[in-house]
Amino acid sequence: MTELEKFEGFMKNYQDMVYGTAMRMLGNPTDAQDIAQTVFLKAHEAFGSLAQSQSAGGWLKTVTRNLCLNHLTRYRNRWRFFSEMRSEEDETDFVDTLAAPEKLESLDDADRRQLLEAALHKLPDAQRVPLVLFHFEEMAYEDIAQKLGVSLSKVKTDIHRARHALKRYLQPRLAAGDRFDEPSQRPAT
Amino acid sequence: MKPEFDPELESLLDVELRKLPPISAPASLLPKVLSAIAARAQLPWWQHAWWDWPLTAKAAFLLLALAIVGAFSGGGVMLDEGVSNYSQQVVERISPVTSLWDTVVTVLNAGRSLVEKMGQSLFLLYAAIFIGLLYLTCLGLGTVCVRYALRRA
Repeated sequence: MTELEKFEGFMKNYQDMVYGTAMRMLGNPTDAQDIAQTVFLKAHEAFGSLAQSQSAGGWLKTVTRNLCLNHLTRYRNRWRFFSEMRSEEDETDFVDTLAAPEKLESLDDADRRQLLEAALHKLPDAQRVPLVLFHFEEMAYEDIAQKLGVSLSKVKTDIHRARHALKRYLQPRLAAGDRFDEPSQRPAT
Repeated sequence: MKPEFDPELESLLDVELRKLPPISAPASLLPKVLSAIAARAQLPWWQHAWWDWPLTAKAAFLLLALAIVGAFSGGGVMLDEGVSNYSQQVVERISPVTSLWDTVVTVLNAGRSLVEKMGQSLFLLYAAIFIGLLYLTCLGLGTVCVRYALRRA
C-alpha cells in the first residue's frame, strides 16, 4: 500500500469528524469544507508521525478548532466595530426566522433534531461558537473566554442567549417535564 | 442583561445536542484534498517549505546566509584576514547609499522648517480637524452600509 493510499484510508476515517467540527463552528458548508481541506493538507505534511499516533484524532480536532477560530477572528476584527453596534432588535430578527413552537409539536424526534441542527447553524457567530465549544468540545467557560479573547461574562451571556434561542426546539420535552436521562459529566460551573 | 443560569436547560440541551447525528463530509472533500496534494508535489523544490528542501540546497542557503552576515558585521565571525578585507570592500561599495540617506535627512529637515514657517500650530490643528471629520464620515457610512447589508441578509 502506497503512502497516498494509506493517507486516503486515514482521511476516510476522520473526514466526518473534521468536517462536522468545522461545520458546527462556522455554520457554513463552504467555509467548513475549506477548513477541512486545510486540516488534511497539514495532516499530510505531518503524516509520517501522525499515521501511527494514537492521538491523531485529538490532533485533528485541535487543528480544526484553531483554524476555525482563526477564520472567524480574521473577519471578526474587520467587522468587529460594526457588529458590536448591532442593536437588540437585530438579535430578535434572527429568532423570528426560527420555526414557530406550535409546529414543533407535530414533528417526530428526527425532524426536530434536524431543525435543531439547522437552528444551530443559523445562530450568530458570537453565540454559536461558544455554545459549540461548551457542549461539543467540552471546554469550560474560562477556557472558552481565553480562547476567544473575550471576557468570561460575555461568554456566559452569549451561551445563555444561544440556549434560549434553541430552547423552543426543546419545548415539547420541557412541556412534558422530561428529565434528562443521561447524567451530565460536566464539572460543576 | 445578567444571564440567569438554568441548569435544567443546560442539561437538557446538552443531551439533545449530543444526540444530533454526526455530519457527513461531502463526497467532494476527499478528491479535492488528493488533487491539492498532487498539485503540491508538482511544484519545484524552492516553492516548498524550507524544511522540505534538498539537503544540498539547505546547506548552500546556510553558507550564503553566514557569508552575508559575516560581510556586514566586519568579518567578525570569521577571523580570516581575507574575509575582513572583503567586508571593508563591501562597506566602501555601499557608501553611495549612505550619501543618499544624508540627502533624505536634509530634505526632511527642510520640510520641517517649512512647516514651522507656515504657522505650525494652526496648520496642524486644521489638518487634525479635517482628518477627524473624514474619519467620522467613513465610520458613519460604514455603519450604515453594514446595518443595511445585515438586514438584507
